[in-house]
Amino acid sequence: MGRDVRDITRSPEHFRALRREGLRFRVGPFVAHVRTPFTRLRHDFLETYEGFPLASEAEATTFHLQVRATAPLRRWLRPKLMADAGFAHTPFVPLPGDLGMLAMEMGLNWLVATSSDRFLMFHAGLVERGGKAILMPGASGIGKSTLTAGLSLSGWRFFTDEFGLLDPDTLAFHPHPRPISLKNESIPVLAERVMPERLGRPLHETPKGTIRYLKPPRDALERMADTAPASLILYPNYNPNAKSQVIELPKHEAFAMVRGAAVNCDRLGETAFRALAALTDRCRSFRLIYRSLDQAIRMVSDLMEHAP
Amino acid sequence: MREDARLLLTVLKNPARQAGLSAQAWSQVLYLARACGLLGRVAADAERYGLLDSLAAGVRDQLIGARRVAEMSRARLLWEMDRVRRATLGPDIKIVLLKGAAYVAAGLPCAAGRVSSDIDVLVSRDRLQWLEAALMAAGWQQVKSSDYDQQYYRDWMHELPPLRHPERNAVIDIHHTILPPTSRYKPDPAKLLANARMIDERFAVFADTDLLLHSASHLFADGELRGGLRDLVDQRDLMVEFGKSADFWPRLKARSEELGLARPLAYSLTYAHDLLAAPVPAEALTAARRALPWPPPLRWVMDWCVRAALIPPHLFDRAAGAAVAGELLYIRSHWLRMPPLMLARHLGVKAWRRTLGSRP
Repeated sequence: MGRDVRDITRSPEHFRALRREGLRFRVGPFVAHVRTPFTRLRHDFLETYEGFPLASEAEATTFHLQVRATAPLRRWLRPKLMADAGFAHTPFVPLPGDLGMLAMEMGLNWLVATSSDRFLMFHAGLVERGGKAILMPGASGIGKSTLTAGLSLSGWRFFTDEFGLLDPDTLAFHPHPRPISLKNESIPVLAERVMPERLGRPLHETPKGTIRYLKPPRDALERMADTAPASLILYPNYNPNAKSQVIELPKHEAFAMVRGAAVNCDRLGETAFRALAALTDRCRSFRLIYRSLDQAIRMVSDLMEHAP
Repeated sequence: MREDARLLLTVLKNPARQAGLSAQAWSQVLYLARACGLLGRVAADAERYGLLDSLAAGVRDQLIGARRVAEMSRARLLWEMDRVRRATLGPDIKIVLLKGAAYVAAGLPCAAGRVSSDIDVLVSRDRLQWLEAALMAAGWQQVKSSDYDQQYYRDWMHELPPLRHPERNAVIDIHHTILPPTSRYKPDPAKLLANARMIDERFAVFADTDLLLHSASHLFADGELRGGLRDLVDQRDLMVEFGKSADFWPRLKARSEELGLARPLAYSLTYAHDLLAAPVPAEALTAARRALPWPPPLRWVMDWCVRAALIPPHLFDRAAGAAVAGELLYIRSHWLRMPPLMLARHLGVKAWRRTLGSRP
């Protein structure tokens, strides 16, 4: 790694480093160190992670990940790969050789989910405007990533589409801007809103259908150290056949809902309970039913006008 | 010795040295400590030495996280003990807490930052059924459902098939002795029970010598040693704590011979002393080491295996040696656990069921 280089670039140098000593880069409060011998994955990775800041020597690594062949011959012969974090009891599965990016992203997600108990973690999308963050919890497949991506292309700053990281002491959310994972029907919806080079190549026949990774916006990377407190908690629900609706949740229900979205609640105990209570107190919580992305963006803008 | 292993051992021996670690050194220490299940311990040490605030933010974040997880684990363990106490109201029967639960209940230093997923207890063999029935009546359920597994545990193991409480997802292992009855080593559980000291009206913990002997025999006569550094840290801490009284070392030696555990103890004292600077008096060490294997080449092979396997290799630095050592120790652990014919039968059944596609 050259010492003058500060960001990940699509350079032969970084292409080589990925195979040899690996690349160490910063994502919000974490430093990831990744390595892989697979050529296609190295191309995909540099394309998607171009512009991420490399970690300096003064920063310790938070997690290590490699994507390796499932057996020595599998690197060349009917390639099969899987993520490896070095620990026993990981849920990683073997994947075909051209789905390396998926193995990498799932591996990094697992590491974040299991080793960031400094934060109270929410399975949620998160954006910010004017110093106020919006937390959007939700299970996979209900439009959380799409809405997060849509908002971050309409004047909001992108924090994450997967992990809301709450500091339980300050109640500020930390950005964790990773590539946005767009699945199936949401791909065309966003493809028409972004420059084609921001979208990675389609990964077909993954366990979740077709996936394309969208590069996080430039300002999300530049400001990945700027935290923000949340003002709104929204539960998005995309349903083209329903009447669009905004329903405010009473505090007791809001607490139960947001507790359900907290991933590491059981590992933090009382710390988590207090943070959840304080978060519910300071935010207004709404259920959001919408028929199109544009409609949802307008609804969120309106709600933001009255946010505490 | 590997650089990362040396760094981790340094901060385990002398936590104050955490203060001088570079970011690069921390990257190695944090990874290895996590792989060994010792991150909570490193965090507890940092807190005890007042170092947390002086560490770089990225390092502090990881240690604070590990600290919270360890605190929660401890609270869970205490709550599980409370639930077991409640489920077993009535008869005057001694339930001995083992390992993590014992360290927490007895307030021993090795409980600091230690994360336990299960609770382990021991009762005399004739109380097994009573305890199992009492727990199942209070909602605990069998984890192993197949008849073979159930029978295997009941016939050949030193513990019952594990029970889990579905609401709290907590597992309890009920032991009647500390090693499988088929093992090379056969410590008499009646002797262990007789010396166990009551800590409240329901629970007891082993006597000081027996706490150490149990941990040593678990690491060096039962398990595979892979990632066993945490157990060795427990043993080192027990040696520091109990070694404060002068008569501990001669009592330990006598007790190890009485229970037939002189060899596991010799390994424990040797490695806790060599790797973790345990304060073992020279004469106690020399006396214990007479129980090591003969002829010396066997000792050298074991020594190489232990050093390679105790601390797992780094993800980005997989040397073949560690894998070979791990395999040898795996074979050794089974060799010590059961006679050859029985081992062949057991592995045969497991392989057969794997090929049939059912869970072994």
